[in-house]
Amino acid sequence: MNRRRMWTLGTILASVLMIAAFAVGEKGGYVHMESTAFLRVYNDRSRPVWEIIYDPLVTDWNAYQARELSYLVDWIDARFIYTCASWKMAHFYSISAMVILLLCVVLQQYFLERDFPTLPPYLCSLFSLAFVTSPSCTGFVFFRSAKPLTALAATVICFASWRIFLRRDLKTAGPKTWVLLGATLFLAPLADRQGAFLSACFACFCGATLVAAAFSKVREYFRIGDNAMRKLYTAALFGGGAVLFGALYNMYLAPALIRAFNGYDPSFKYQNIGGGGLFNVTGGGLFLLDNLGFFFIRTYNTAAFAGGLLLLIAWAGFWIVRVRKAPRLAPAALLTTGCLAAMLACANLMSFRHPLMLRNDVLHGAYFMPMLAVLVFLAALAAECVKSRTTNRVLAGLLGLSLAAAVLEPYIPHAPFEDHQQMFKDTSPLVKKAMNEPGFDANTAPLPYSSLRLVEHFRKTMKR
Amino acid sequence: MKTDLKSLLCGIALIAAVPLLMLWQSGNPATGTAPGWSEYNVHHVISILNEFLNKNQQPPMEDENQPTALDIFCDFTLDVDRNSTYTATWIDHVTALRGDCSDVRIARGRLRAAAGDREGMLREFEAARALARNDIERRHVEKIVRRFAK
Repeated sequence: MNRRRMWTLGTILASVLMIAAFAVGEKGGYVHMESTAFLRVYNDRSRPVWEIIYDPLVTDWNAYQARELSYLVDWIDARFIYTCASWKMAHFYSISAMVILLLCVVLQQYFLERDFPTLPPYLCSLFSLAFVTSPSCTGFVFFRSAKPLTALAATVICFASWRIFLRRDLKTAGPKTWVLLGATLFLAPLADRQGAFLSACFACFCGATLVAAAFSKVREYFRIGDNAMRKLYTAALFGGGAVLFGALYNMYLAPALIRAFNGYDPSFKYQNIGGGGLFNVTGGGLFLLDNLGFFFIRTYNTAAFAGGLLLLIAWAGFWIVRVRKAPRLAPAALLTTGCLAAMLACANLMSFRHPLMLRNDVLHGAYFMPMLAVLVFLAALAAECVKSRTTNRVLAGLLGLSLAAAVLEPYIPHAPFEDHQQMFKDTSPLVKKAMNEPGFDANTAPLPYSSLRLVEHFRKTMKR
Repeated sequence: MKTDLKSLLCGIALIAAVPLLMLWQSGNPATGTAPGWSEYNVHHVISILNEFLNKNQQPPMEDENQPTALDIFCDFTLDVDRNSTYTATWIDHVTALRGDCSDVRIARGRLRAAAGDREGMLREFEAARALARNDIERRHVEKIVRRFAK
């Protein structure tokens, strides 16, 4: 086993330990406000799984979003929670959140080891460890698997694309990589609307590259040969096909299945944003910059926003200087710019649709996870392209800062803010006790009413 | 400079078609045919509840015949909610943000009434009485009790 492989395996092992440590720290988790309903719905033993996941009235508050793949994973999570509770080990962990996070790390390390040969192993490790400890990834409480699934899709799409047609010395990317990329592009829209956006961005980037590569001077300057063009056409076909499939699934196939299983047509009202949300730059900008800053220094409000803004300016400055020195790096710089612009557009739409996500107790959660997965790739891409020791050291320093902040987070002072889940966190030990002990009088215990209904439902389900 | 027309046209077609497909999906005005639920979406619930939550420092009630935002919310959702799954969750949400108060206890009592738990309902209404801040609020609670505790 070579040294690089040992770093890879060590990083994966360290990630497993970190995930376990975070999970233990959550002490069994708490029953999220909305999860009290979802746990009951997914554990309805009188209905087959397909009937449940194609019923957006109960899986998504009638806010139909065609993300049935994530409901299937939620169904597995919810069944696992009831099964553990029936063994008197009640908890509210999302097992899929942990597995998906670990899969992201395994994929990052797999591709970093093979396709980023100039990156030092310690930097590759830091990318994954900072990702694992980021606040958007460490929430293992059962809620929804849509964002973790999209983060996994983002990891695959970014790294597999690099392997297939960005790395110049890799002449033959095997069919496995194509299958992985193609399947991910087609499945991402079924995981979340962010996943649909991800596939759309991939298709648009392929389109933009095809337009640029149409000009012979561009092809000659960037040495885009016939082989690369063939790959580009194939990737564009996959991307375009995935977007078309996602649209048809959302508009026709899933509604037909909902009609067949549950006898009604879903409401598109929640999806009906139009194009106006794209310009909600104040909300999207705040989301993106605040999360960037928070990732590194774990401070809130203006400090986090300013930190994110500074980092973005530094990153832009870095690429401007580098491209002026070596113009052949322009595609990597343009890809970074395009990804950041796409993230801003996505954040604009999300915060326009759901302004409550800008609350301090929600802002740094799983909404940012898919974007962070893309940022890990972009940072690795920057380091691989410029091949500079200074860049590696600066990046390592920043990622080390993020890791240190993760450890010191409880000691970093911040102004208090309202946590809308506090009541559910405070009462969860009682809920777990009521699920573990059938004789416990839950009716007179000071439980939120929805938690009481959950306990009653669990007890009824277990009696059957 | 030579131009590869095939590449150019494919690229332009893709750049044009993808945003159009996305806009097509996000511009669908269909509200669905869910039985009794067509208006019961997140916006509707949130708009009613926001009205309640925005009055964080809500002054004591001045007219016992005027329904509170939570009364309206319960009237609406308990009518269409299967097993009061969602109503319970949102009432808890309100409690989490606003804290315990007479209005919340009335809503919890109504939830228990919907679930057939008469004893629990009376307990919640009793708590609502105790939390009422003036005579008008107490009369409002009595009115609700008369309506549901027959």
